[in-house]
Amino acid sequence: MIEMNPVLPPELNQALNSYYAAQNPDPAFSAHLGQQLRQRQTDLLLLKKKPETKRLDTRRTFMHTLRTRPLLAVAAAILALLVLTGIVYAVAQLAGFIPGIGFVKDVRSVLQTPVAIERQVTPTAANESIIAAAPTDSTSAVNSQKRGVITVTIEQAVSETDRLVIAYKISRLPANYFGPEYAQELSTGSQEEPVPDQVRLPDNTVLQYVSGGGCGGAGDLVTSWITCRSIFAPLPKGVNEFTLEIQRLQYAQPGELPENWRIPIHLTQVTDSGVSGGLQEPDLNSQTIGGITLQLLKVSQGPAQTAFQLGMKWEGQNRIVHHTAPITLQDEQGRYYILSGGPDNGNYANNTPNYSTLPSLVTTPVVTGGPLTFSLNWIVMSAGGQAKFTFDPGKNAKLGQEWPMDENITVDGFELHFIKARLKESTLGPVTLEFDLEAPQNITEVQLFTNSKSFASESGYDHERGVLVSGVTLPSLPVQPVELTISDVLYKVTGPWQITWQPQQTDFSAVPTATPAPFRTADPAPTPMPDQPLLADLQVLLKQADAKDPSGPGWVHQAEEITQAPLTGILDNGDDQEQPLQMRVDTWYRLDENGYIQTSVYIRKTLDGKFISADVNNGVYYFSLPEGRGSVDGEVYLEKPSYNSDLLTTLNGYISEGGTIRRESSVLNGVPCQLYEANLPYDPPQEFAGQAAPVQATVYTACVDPVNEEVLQIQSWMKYANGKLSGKDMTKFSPPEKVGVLPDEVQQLLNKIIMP
Amino acid sequence: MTDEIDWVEINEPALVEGARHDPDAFAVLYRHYLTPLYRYLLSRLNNVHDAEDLTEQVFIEAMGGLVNFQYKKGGCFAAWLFTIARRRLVDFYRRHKDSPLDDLPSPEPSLLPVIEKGEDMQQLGRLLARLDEKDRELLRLRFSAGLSFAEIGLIDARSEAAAKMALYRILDFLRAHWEDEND
Repeated sequence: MIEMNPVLPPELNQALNSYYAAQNPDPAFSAHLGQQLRQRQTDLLLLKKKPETKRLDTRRTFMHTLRTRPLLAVAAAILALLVLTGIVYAVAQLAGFIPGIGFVKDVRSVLQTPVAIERQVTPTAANESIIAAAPTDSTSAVNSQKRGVITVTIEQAVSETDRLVIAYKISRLPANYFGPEYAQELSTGSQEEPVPDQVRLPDNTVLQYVSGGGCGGAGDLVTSWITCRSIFAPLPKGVNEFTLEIQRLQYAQPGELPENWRIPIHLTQVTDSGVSGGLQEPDLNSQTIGGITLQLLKVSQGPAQTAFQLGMKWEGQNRIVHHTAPITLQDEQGRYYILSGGPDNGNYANNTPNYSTLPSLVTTPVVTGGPLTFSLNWIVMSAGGQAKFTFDPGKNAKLGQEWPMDENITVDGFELHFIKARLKESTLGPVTLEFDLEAPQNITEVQLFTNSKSFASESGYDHERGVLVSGVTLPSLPVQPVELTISDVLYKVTGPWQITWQPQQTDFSAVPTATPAPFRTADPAPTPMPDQPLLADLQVLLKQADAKDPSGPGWVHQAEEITQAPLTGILDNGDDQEQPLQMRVDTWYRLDENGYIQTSVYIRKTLDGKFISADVNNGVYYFSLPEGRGSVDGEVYLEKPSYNSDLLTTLNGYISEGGTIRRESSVLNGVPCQLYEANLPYDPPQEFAGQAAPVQATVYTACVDPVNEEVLQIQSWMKYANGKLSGKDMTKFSPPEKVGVLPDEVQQLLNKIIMP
Repeated sequence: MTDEIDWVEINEPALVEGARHDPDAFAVLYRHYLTPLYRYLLSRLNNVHDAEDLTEQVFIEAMGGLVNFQYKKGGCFAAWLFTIARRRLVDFYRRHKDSPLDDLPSPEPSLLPVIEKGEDMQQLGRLLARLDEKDRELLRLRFSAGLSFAEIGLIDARSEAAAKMALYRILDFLRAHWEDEND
């Protein structure tokens, strides 16, 4: 209830509420959109997924939020480079795949070379800090070394018979433009709303703006940039010149950056000159498993990349694809191509009630003449049906109360047996109504919906109790029967679905395709927080250790032993492989002559030597097993290895979040060490997923050998508000060592991946 | 007020940070803001289909923004979400030229059906028609979206106190004229 000073007549009060807050979204709409968002986010995260590091953050714990390494959101800079190389290819085809644009068909004309416009930022109170922090650009022909110049580059524009797509980049923004120092300026919104981009034709008519395909911001240590993709109504036939008008740049506040951009664009008519690639429509089907069939719909084999469009069809109504395992592509020798998401990444289109187009996938140019095989190991489908039931907790329900149940509900053929209900507090909210269910083994989640005006829910398998759990928040303790709807039943279908595809023989030898090496910036050492002499001391110590660490060029190996405290109450939705609480991580770094990492390989095993998972990263591409997941990593930093789990960065993070640090002498396994302890309090205590009680503080310790300057061990744990402590996460380090010959298992792993 | 949005207490800063990499956390945010956002858009568009379309667009953009770090740590998620919503409304009006970009018909179209419902609603309709669009927008943000004054202040680039004062003035106006009409 909103409190207001002016006392309103009850009738006016009632009328205002009836008018402004009468209608709720339709439950079916809200459930469907919820699924769609989950799928899109899962796909986006898969694309962005980095190697799971050897640190303690391999699980979904609150420690994720404490990682304050001053790396910014890293963009796939290499994608931009691919765009540039792709342009050459795009010019001479009528259909195919254009980086930054996606699959195209019936292309009339394209941009032949990027168009860049530079403008000086006019100093105002709103942008003083931006100009001061803006990068100089020694590569710029104009305004060289001048600060406060913003560049808009039209990277690609494609005129098709049914649309005009323009991809552009706003660059030379200050480093960390999307970082916390600009948060205040950028989160305050604006009084004046920007208008969408416009395309103005020579006769002064304006093309209808159809949609913004989305903008994304990213940055590195030098600068930040924003990439945008806008879609307009098609250009009239024969028209290839127009002006793109951008009133205000995306994410900019009024007056902050130059406005009213007018960028003339001239497209070049395409002709079918016979360059191979273009668009193939193989229409290949996998076997049908569980009523589901995978399809290969489109392929474009270009000199810069090969792109694929897959789809999925299934039997039955009221079902949609919820999410899938990564799709893999292997050659006859079992070597993996690295598939990453295209510009429509995350865009699952449920085209018909039982058919969905999957986001496009991109890989390097296919270099084998033999057949290639797509594999998909599992799919999670969502069955709807909107089954309703009522739960009556009585009039005096209390937190902690449980009720035995024996209620069977069938949803779209799935039989669910509700066996228990309880009221509890959780991270979702102050009152959660939770049910235990017995259900067929392939059901991973049962999602509930209530007509409560704001609600949250979660579901998954509780391994501790051996039951499927489904919970929903209530605004307060219920005093009357609660009406519930089973909005979705998620179930996993296990494959593998496989499609074998024979690539066309291609010859791109006449096409210049060389992709320049990405520009990568050295990752600077973190600077200790000011007024923290302990951190300054530690930095000196760690620098001495760095000086003694193995240098490049060549391979360096380091082993770590990790012990993780068990989490409680984490519901398993079946997507991730269960990780043991103890593991050994072997890391190999291939260093260049300056000690920067060229390739890193992580192999995780149980303490008795069973393989768990592996990651390979060469700064451009990333690949992990056993999922076979890959992506363009776009790492723009040249990093040196951290043999101490980025200790200084972590402690900096604790301080910057409001924590404290102290040091004392200690002994670890008979070895004297300097114990650094950071403490981060929460007032009031906070609920974190996986923790048994509200957390009052987190503690992080590092034992550093003052003689050899090596970090011997780090630990972290939580202090609960009830006075108890959580279990401890712990990492023990062994000193890094230079490796003359790579072990066979590492070489074999590298041989399995087609990684440029 | 008797039909206020029942906010479930959530730890929003932690959720927002978590939502960058955890679909479960984003799902909680989604469910938390779905009804307020939908009600706000419906009050602007007076069409369930359009309100659902824009609700979808706004959440997709917000989700992408979180994942891609366009949302800045330390910002106000609600203000950011509704700023996106207002931008998408501008897009919508631009595409639908029958809906003016700068001002909405008066009285608000969505009011017309409820005017038929009773004398009180008719009276409210007459009073709302006398407000300018800026004031009606403030009412929507407060009563449809259920935003706090601080959040409204961030969206409208004014202080929390200024947002509060502006709303009180509108409510004073409504109360005074409501009583005048009843006298």
